[in-house]
Amino acid sequence: MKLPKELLHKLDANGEPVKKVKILPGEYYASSEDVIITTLLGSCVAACLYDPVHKVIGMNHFLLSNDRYSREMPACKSEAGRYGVYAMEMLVNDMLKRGASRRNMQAKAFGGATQLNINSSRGNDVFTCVGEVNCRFVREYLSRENIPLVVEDLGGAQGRVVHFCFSDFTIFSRKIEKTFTASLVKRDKAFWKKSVEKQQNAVSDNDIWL
Amino acid sequence: MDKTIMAVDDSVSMRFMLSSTLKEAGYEVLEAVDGREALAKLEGSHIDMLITDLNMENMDGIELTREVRKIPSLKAIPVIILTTEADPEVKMSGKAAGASGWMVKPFKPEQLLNIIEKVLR
Repeated sequence: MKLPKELLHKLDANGEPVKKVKILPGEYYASSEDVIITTLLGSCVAACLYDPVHKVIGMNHFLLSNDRYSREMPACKSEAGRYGVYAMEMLVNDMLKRGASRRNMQAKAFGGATQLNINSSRGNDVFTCVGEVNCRFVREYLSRENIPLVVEDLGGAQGRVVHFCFSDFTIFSRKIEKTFTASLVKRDKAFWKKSVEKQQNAVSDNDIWL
Repeated sequence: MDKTIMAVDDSVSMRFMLSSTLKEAGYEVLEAVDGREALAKLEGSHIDMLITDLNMENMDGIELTREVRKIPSLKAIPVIILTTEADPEVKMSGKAAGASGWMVKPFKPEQLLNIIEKVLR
C-alpha cells in the first residue's frame, strides 16, 4: 500500500511529515488535524466524510454483515442495514465530537467490489452479493441523511487503495490487480463471517435503572 | 388507548428504524431530530415514554433528559438513552440526569420492545 509520490513527502503546517493512519475492516477514523487516512478495500465500502467549514474529516471501512439480504427491502430497514447505519453513526458521532456539523457534511464513497470467482463449496454463495449490497446501502443512506455524495467509485470487480487527505479533502484512489483483489476478498469474507457470528452471539449491554 | 413514545435521533435512518419498530408493535410515535425540537414538541403533547439518542447537535440526550425531568407531568415517565456510547462514565452521567435506562446500538428490535414493555408496565 505504497503512498503515491505526491503524498509520500507531504508536509503539514509545521513542516513535519503529515500523520498517516491506516484503517482495517470494521474500523473508522476521524480527525480535525492534518492526516492522510488510508484503507485497502475489497467488497467493503469506505465512506469518506468531511465538513469543509469546520475542517473535520473521517473515513470508515465496513460491510453489511448478514447471512440474508433482501433486494426488495430498503437496505436501512433490513437486519443487515442496521449494522450499516451503526457503522455510519459511529463515524458521524466522532466527527460531531470534533466540531463537525451534519449540515455541512459531504461524502465520497469507494469500494464494494463484486467477486464471482471465490472458491466456495456452496453454489450460490450469499457473500458474492455483499459488494453490491454495500454499494446500494451507502448510496441510500447518504441520500436519506441528506449528505451529498460528491464523488463515488463503487462496484466493479477490482479492489481499491484509497487515501483521503485532510488538507484539501482529496482522494487518491487506485484499482488493484485482480490476483491481489482475490486475496482481499478472502480477507473480507473472513471478516464478514466473524461479524455474522458476533451478531448472532451478541450479548446486550443494556442497563435499566428502575 | 395506544401509548405514545417520543423518538429523538439526529439520523433520519435511525429515526426510521426506531419509528417503524415501534409502530409495528402498536405504539404511537412522536419524532424529533434533537433535544431542542423534542422539548418544543413536548409542549402541549402527551407522551408515555421517551427514547433518545445521546450525541446530537443543539441539545444532546443527557441535557434533554435533565430538561424533561423538570417538567412535572414527565417527572416519572421512562426515559431510555439509545446510543453508540458504552463508556461507563457517560452512562453514569445519563443516570444522574434522570434516565431510566441505557441501550447500546445497534439495537435488536425484539430486545428494544422487551425493554419498553418492561418499563411501561
